[in-house]
Amino acid sequence: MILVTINDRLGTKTQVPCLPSDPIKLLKAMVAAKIGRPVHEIMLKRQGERPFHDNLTCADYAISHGVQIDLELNTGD
Amino acid sequence: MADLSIDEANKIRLSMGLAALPGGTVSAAPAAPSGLNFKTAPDGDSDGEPASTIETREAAASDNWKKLEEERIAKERRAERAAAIKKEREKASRFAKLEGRGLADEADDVDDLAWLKSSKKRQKKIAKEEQMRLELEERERQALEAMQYTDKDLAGVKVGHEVDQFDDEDQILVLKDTAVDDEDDAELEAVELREKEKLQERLDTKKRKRAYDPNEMDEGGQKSILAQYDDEIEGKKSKAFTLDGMGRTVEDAQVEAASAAKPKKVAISLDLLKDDAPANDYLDFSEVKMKKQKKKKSKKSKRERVEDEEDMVVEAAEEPAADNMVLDGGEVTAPAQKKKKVFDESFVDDDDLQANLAAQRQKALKKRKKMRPEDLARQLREEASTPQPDVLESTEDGEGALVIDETTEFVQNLGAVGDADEEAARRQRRKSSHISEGIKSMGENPVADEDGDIDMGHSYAEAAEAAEARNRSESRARSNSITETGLEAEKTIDQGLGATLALLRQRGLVTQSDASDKNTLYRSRQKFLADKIKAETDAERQRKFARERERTSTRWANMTPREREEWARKNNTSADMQESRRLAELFNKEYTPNVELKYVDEFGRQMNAKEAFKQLSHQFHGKGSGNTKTKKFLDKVESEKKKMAESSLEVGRSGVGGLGNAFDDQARKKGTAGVRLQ
Repeated sequence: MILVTINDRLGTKTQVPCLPSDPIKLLKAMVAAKIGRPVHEIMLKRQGERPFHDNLTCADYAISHGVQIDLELNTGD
Repeated sequence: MADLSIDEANKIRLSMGLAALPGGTVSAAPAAPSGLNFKTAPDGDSDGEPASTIETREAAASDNWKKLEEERIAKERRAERAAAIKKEREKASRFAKLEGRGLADEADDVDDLAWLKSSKKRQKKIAKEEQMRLELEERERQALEAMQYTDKDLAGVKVGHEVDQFDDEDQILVLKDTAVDDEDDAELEAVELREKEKLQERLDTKKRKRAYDPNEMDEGGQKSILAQYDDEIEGKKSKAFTLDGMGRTVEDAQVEAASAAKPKKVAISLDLLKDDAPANDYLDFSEVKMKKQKKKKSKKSKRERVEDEEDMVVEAAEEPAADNMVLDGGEVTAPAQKKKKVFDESFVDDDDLQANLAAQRQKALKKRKKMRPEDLARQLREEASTPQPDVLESTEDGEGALVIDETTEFVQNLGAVGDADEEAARRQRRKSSHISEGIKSMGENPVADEDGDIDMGHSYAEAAEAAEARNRSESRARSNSITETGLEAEKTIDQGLGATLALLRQRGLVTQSDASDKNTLYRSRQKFLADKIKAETDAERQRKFARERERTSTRWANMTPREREEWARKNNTSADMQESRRLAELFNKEYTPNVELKYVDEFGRQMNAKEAFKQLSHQFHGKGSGNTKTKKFLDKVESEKKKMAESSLEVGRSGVGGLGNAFDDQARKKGTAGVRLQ
């Protein structure tokens, strides 16, 4: 089990437990449950990189224990 | 811990169809018996290669970790067991029984009586040993003493240095390095001092030494002949002393003995010679009697002036020059006489000769200057009464005409150019003198002196007015008649076209051209034009006449309109042809074209070919001359204008014009070297 830190750099910061084999979809669902924003509005990405795709796993993005991931608003484009 | 509790997370996971996280309170995770959840290694790699996929690698990692853990635990256990064994061994050795004989075991088993008896013997033995030891020590000490090496042993040993060289430092002397079979005694030397000496020697050799130095003295204060070869002949002088073992040197002792052997010298005082020492060259100030000199200031000053050679010379020179002048300061003539005498006497050497010459030159100069004002005044007065008396000369025939030839002209020109302002000044002076005369006649005080200077008490305006009036009258007179220079006055424009032309000719602005040629040319041209017009009208009339005749003919009446038209056209063309042929003939016979290319620049000047080309070139290239050239050109134009405006008789600022130049122009016009004025 790993703990991933989600931060939107605007004052919202939360930690989510997951497994490296979990898809990003799940991560988003858990973040959505935590911050109260629908899943389709959540965009996760590393700073300066492209946003994560839903169907890939945490391990694919080399997300390990203690990694901090940026949370942005997904406007759909 | 996470903000999201594991239970909540598990709920979400289960809803999405994923396995729950381990560590939740719900026992929904039976798959995680320990804290760590490793993947199990598959039975065999699908492709037979170990660790080829991430899955296999992760599985292998778990295996490896397990192995490592086991090893670590085994090691720990081993170390524990070894420590226990060691502890046991130490404990056992601590309580092991000591073996071997002790002190008590060693002692003989004798009884106390026997021990007492033997104790005396034992004491004796100990004392004897003690004595033996003392004796040995004594002997050793004596041997050591015998071995000691003191300064007494050094008596008669040579030391290869001077005594003075051993200042205050401790020096270690060693035996000098010599050959084994050398007969010389052993010699001691200090390594440090030897080094120093060697260095000194090397420095000396480096110094440039003069072969012959007459001032050189050796240490004894005496000169030796050809001292520079001493070293080569006698070998190097080595400084050495011998120790005598008594704390002194042998040489010291010898010197002392020698001095003791010598008879005692008698000390003689040389003071008796001091009595007739020469007295002081200078007088003692107490003996000097000062004479108070009487002050003769005036005389002294005069004397000084006499001594001052230059001054004297100047004054002496001045005297004969200005006999009638009043001497300033009211000096009597006696000192002047005296000065003269001195002047004569001082005429002794070359310097004086030079001074004398200078004085004479100065004198001459002064004389000339002195003469100037009166002469000038006289001259001026003469000039006023008779205009240009110096220029006027009587010719051979005695006609009273003024002949101006090349020489006079040249001189005139020189005066005109060089002394332009001087002349102006003179004119001014003359005017002022006139004014002064006028004022005198009016019964006022005489204000101007001989030089023509005006008393400044009179206003400038007055003087200027008078001068102007005079000028005006003069100019009027000049315009009407022949001027005072004897030349005809310039024509003015107000007299008509002819006069204007004459003026322009006089000024050289219009050159005499071949007017008759031009006239004939013009006439012929006019005639040609008239002829041409006449011929044209003739032809026209004839054509008209012919047409009318045609129209009255029967043929014309019979013809259709179309035919008539045709007929008329034919006639017209033939008539045109005829006419043009005739015109061409006329042109060939009579017409002579007169082509004149005239270029006019922006100032209205006529340009010559060169200038025209330049302008064309500038237009073509689209850029003109630079600043400097443009300025030059403008200056030129300006000066030309000025020249045009100037009267040919007056000297302008440009330096052209004036009488001399008028002569010049006249001469040029006539093509002769001189001008004759009647």
